Amino acid sequence: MSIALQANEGRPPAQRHQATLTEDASNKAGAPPGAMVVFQGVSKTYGDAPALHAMDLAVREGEFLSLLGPSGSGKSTILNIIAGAVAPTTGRVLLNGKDVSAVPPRERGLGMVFQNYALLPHMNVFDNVALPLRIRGVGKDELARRVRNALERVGLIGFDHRKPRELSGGQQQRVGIARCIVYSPSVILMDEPLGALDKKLREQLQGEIKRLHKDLGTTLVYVTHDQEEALNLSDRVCLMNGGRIAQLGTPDELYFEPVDEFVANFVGESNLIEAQVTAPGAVTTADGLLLVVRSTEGHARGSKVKVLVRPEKIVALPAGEPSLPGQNRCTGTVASTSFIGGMTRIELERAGAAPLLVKTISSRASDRWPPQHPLTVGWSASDSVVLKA
Amino acid sequence: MSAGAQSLGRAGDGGVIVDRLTRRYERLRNVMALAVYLFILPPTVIVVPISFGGSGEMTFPPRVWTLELYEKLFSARAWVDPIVQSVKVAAMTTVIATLMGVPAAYGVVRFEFPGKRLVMLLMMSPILVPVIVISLGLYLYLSRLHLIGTGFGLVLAHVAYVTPFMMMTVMAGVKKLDPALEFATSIMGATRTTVFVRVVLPQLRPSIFAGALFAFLVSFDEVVIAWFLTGPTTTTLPVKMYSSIQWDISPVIAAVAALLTALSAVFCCAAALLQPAAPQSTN
Repeated sequence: MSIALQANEGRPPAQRHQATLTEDASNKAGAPPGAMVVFQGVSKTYGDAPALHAMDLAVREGEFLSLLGPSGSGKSTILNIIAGAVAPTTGRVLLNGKDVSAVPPRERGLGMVFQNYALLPHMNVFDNVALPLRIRGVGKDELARRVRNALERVGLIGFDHRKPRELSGGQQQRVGIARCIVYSPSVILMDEPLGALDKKLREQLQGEIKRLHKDLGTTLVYVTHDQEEALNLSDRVCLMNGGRIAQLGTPDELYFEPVDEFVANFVGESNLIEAQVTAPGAVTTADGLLLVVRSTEGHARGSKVKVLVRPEKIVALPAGEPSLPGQNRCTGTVASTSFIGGMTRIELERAGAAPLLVKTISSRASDRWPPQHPLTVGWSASDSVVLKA
Repeated sequence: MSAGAQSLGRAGDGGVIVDRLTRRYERLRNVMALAVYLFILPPTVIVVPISFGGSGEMTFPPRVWTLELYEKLFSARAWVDPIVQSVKVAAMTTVIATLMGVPAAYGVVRFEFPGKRLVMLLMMSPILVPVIVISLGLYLYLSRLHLIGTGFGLVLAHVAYVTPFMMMTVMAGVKKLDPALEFATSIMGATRTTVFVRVVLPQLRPSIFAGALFAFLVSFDEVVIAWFLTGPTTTTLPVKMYSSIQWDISPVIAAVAALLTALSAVFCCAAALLQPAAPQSTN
């Protein structure tokens, strides 16, 4: 459970305080303090195929946790186990300190937002949002007030009498979110809620979801396969691979300190340079290039490693300028450039070594390097992360 | 050159390219459908003009056009009583079959339980077993319960006979429902009953209505089982028609047949209109 404790440090003080208030309650079931959703040795097997290997996980109260990963990595299985749609093969699930492994979904007090919206087609917007309150027997006046409040929060005032099919995808998902926040569930699950929307709308709704989470302070577990979405929204990201946690940490940690090659490749773009540790803080590549790195801690001298350098951290240098301490440099020729909007990707060919990917701020075609142009590039030691080969 | 292009294909009306073979198949399909209609429809349609003929004879085409037969039909208790009885039996049958068939259809489609295939087979068996066999079985069974000759006995029999039709219609409807909607509702705290009443039933309304119409028609029209189970006071309309053909070939029967044809046509049109036109969700 060190995961949860570690994450405590990065929290704002107010939320940390909130977490200690629930400590007594959650300790009864052996859950870490402040943890809203806890997995203890939870695994799921379908027939012989393991969908999820035994894992521990703790989602802190008020946290925005993303489950990120390729399809089939187990991220949706985790969400379905929390929701109660799928029973774990082994292990216990705790919600707010209570063991809910055998509790049906309707008694778990959760809210959920679905990729395909899951709005009831025969009810209008108002009735869809009011349904959870009617189930709870909320009185007429309070119901109207709370539905109005929820619709206001998602910017859907004046749509009360529309049927879901008369709304756009983005509007439908807003109804889905309103239906979820209207009864203030302690944990909200979102299953690729923006997966069916186009890029512009997705970014807009990301902003709205982020703001909603900040305003409401609910615990939010969010499944996505879009790494940008996960990095943008989350307090912490749980990157899944093959039914296991590849890395769980803040977006910063995942991007700048990935634990292995998979994480480095999945989150952002990366150059992975094969090398060998030759001295503390220094490695030598296969083609004899000496690189200074952030740290070689945990890697013995002579061991094979990979050095991760993010393409946007590599900058073009004027040729012939002397190298500065703490800086790596190498030369090559431009193989190709591709203009993708704000950034331009350059593939740099080097004799006897794998090509290097460089990303620079775009400029007009006349100012871009033509193919076969010789180019010297450099990057600092602090942007060179050593990973196990 | 142009001949070659034509043999390859031609743009159809909808801007879709229709090749020659497809058009040939379409023509064949239309001819065959027409042949079938010509074979099936005339016996049904021919009773309509006959029913407006005089009361003395059954001829086609009728020599005089009157409403005499309809007058006779609605003034004779021997005809009105069976009509009322048939409506009563069909209505009760429909209500009971709906109450049983809808939850059963939902349960069978949504849930797995031991013996599901056996239950399905039993529920569908009235369609598979010859009606005459069912009738005989029901006759022996209901006579033990002293229900022969009672309206209630016939309703029970018709419920068993009609429920599979009801179930098939509703099962098709349930299969089209998105289970995510039911899960979404249960996670917000709804019990299974609430989910069924608030989420499942409203979406199934067209299927249930179509199934109920069908159940009503099947029961209203059913003659074999009714022949076995009804007595003199509980005769239904089809039984009365059948016996009147045998004993006193009255032309009134043409009016009855025309009315039944009209009723069936109305029901079929209603059912066709009630089928959901297009998938409702946008994704």
